[in-house]
Amino acid sequence: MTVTINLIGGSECYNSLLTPLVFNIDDIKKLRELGICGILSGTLPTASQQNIFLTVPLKLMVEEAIWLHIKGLAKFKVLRCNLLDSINEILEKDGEQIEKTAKLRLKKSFDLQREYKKEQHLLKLERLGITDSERIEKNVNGNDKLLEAALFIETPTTSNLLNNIHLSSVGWGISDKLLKILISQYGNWDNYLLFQALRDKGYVLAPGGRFGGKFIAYPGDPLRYHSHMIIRDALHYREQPIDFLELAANARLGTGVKKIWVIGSSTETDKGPTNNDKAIVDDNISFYSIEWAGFG
Amino acid sequence: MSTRDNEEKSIEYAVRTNLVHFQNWSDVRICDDQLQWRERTIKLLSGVPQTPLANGNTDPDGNPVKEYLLPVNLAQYKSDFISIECLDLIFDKLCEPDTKRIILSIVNDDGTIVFYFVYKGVHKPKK
Repeated sequence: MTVTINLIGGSECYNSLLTPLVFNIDDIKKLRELGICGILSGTLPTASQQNIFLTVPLKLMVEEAIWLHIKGLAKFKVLRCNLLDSINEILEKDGEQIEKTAKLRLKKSFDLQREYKKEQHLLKLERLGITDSERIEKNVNGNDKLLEAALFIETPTTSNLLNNIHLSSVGWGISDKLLKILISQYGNWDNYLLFQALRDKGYVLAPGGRFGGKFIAYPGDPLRYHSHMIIRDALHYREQPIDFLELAANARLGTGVKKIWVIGSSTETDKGPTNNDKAIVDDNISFYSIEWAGFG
Repeated sequence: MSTRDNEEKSIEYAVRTNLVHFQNWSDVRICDDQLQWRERTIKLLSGVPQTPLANGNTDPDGNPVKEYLLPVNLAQYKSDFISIECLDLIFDKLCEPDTKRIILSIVNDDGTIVFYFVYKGVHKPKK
């Protein structure tokens, strides 16, 4: 089972990291079962300011994308930098074809619905005891207008256009290369190691900005549990002292929101991802959990 | 300056005084084991709280048991240098093997002392 992660953006566009996005609902379900929740980021075109009802694409943290790829659960695809241009290009080239396909699909759906509705109607007449064939004929075919008005138009949950972007874009082969780009753009590799260690312990992680941390960690699905921990950016094992003012602030805040503040670092220092081609897996992480003692 | 003067100026002594006379702990002592760390010698304190602390162990009768404390300085301009490596060493060398937490005792230069639980590893928050 592999899911498709689309990478979008990058230095040319926003002068920022590539953003990993997932568009496929089934993929999103699978990820959820794996404890990778991400954040739904799609909104309604007519109400682009609202942020309560959000839909695809699912935006993943960079750590989540790297973790999935290292575990062999995901492949990367690149969405070209400028999405609008890509869409225009596709529309120019394959627009007619796409429209034809869409119309055909709709027609097929209508045909099936008509057939079904007529069948149901006949069954109903039969139940009512109407057996006169002339009357039936009149009743069934005389209601065409009503029937047409009752047909449903199905709105697809995945985009045809995006599928076409994939077709016209670069293939699977560069997935590993993309991983390297993603990693090379990634600031502190130790943060990834922290993420990985916690994920492998079964915690579900989410961005921790709300609580002043790098991540927050849930003991299970975020819809079932409150988060337990606020995780700080990875510290350097030897060279970085714990800032006691920061500790006091975070431990007090954590106690106030029923969480514990977690700090950690990789005990194998100076071992970046570049030292090893096969994106290292390192579980030598030292964690400490800190909270207010309740007195003093 | 006499040894006694020095002793009374140490943060270990400050924490001990606070625990005995302010928090009403019993059996508070400065541990003999010590760890040479950068410019300072780290010594832990041990003591028994008046009532069991959150997430703390108790003896079979429900009484509180010994807790370890790590005194550190929080000066306005220069704090102690305690890295994660240092915490690893403290748990390894100064605590009994099954110790799950120590209590960080931050001695401020305005005379206040605040206490924080530091658990080794990933730990659930208290109820």
